[in-house]
Amino acid sequence: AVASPKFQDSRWVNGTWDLSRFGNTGGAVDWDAVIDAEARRRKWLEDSPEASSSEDAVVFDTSIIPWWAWIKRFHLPEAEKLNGRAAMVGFFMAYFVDSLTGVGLVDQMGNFFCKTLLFVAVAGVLLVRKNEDIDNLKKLIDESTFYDKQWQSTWQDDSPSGPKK
Amino acid sequence: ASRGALAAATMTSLSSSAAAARATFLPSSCRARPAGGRRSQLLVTRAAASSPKLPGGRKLRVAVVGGGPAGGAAAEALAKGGVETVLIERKMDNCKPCGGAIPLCMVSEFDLPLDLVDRRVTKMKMISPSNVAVDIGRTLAPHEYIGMVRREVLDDFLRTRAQKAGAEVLNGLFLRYEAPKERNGTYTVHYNHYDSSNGKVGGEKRSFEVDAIVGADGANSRVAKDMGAGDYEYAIAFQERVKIPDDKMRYYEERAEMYVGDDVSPDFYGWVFPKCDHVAVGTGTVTHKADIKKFQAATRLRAKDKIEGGKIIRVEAHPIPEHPRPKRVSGRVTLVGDAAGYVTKCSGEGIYFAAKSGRMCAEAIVAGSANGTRLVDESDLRKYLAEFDRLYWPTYKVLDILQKVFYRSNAAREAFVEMCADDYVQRMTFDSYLYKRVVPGNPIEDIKLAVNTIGSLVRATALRREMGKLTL
Repeated sequence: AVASPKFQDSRWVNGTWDLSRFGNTGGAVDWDAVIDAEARRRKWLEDSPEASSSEDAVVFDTSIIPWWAWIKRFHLPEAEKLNGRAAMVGFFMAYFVDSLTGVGLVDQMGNFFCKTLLFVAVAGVLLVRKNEDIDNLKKLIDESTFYDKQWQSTWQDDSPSGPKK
Repeated sequence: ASRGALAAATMTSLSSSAAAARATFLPSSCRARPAGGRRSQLLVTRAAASSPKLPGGRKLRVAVVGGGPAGGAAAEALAKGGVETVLIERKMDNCKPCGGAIPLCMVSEFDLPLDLVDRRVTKMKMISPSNVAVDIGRTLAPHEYIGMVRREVLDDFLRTRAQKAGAEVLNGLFLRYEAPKERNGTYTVHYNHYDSSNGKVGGEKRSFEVDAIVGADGANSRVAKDMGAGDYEYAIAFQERVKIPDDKMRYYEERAEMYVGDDVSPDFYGWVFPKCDHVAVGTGTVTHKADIKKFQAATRLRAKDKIEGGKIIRVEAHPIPEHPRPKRVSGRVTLVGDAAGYVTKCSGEGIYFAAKSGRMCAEAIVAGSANGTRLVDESDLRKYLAEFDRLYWPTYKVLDILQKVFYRSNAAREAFVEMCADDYVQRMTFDSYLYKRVVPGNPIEDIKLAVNTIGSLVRATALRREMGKLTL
């Protein structure tokens, strides 16, 4: 990996993307192209890491790409699906609550339990997008309590045998 | 006064007149107790009253195994508290492979002379996988710095001070201990005595009796093995000491570098730390220990421009505990420092916690024994554990979360470096590192930080997804 060539791109100037070279026909910056170029650079560096240098410092910061460019690129294609899902889950939950309790849709809006259900539905749709996500979430919970268990083990056998001798 | 009389081999039958003469027995209710709530004070009183007074007015005897920061600090506090203390260290000039960074508060808390600090790091450079570099330390006040010490110097200083306080320091290798047969009996410590004066190689086997043992013998602790403390997960740290040309050394005069990325370590970071006249280049990992050489090469490559032409003067590797051992106390034997497993995640810091745990353990023994006049029991040692966990558990937990969130992938690491560019983050990080206190932040800043961090994470993850689609 040592002999691999340095990353080069005509638009990469002095440690950042020269935005003037990303203009599309209208003269505005084509942010999609910037995202593509940065993804390419990062991928390149992952495959062949480069020495960091203080003279030739990287100053590019992803936050200069405006938020709507990210939303347009990554969220909108997904949003249609999520909205649809949330609406369907929401509708059926409201339907079942109504049929089981007789509380109508309008009354449900003022009910704490129903608001909680709504929140759970939205959070669920956002968090579980694919089936694997359930496993990942489970793993995350295990992981986040693992360290606590490692620390607490000193005290575990303690409680029944407090003043034992 | 009678510390010299502690002839190592024949400690079993000690003269006790001198000890009795300076016995300063205080009623347990008015013993000074450092920090701690009302509950712990009540416990202290009860335990000391229940433990028997030592026969013949002799003093409590404690063996401290290991002469690092933990052992040194423990021995000093024990000796000062009127306990007869023996410290065993196998190699007096051991220079342990260790980053050697100490927080500012350690200098004042442990009264360290300033010339112990070789270098004062005021600039930390964090370098992301895509080589974005962020200087941390802009928010430091002029008097604030991270001290870099040489372990052989620090350890020796603490040991010498313990000796001056009255502890006996032995050069020897701890072999094993025997638990007492009867209830309030003594522990027998077996060790290999090294004596450089008679020129004999290998040392001779000796043993002595003590009332309690403090295991401060590091990651490969033999005390922990003997007491059945159980194992911990450990990281392997690999480090090369590189002597670099003077003009390159100037860059590292007050600067340390941290490299993150899958190339340098899948779960930790690679570092370049300045030492007295050279730099230490290293990396560590828990999950991929077999690949450590590869990670080291990657770290060297990433720092290449700055350490080029350097000569490797020393190569070291050492295990670093990831979490405390399942058992940290058994009877009158307890563990402190690395032996117990007090190393933080994320930053891998351990010197301060080692010294602190050693001192806290010693203070618990001194309090529980009423300045060495009574026998201690497990409940006294547990008080030190409870206090340590209470004080430092939040710090350990926060660093564990940080490591889990930000060291999990290159995308997260990019976000981490972006986050570290923020002045507020830097101030909070340094405050908690340098002074070891958790300062409540500013709620508005906290929310801003949370939003920014999530933004960074989302952007980095989005880019990551694009990268997955690419073939170069």
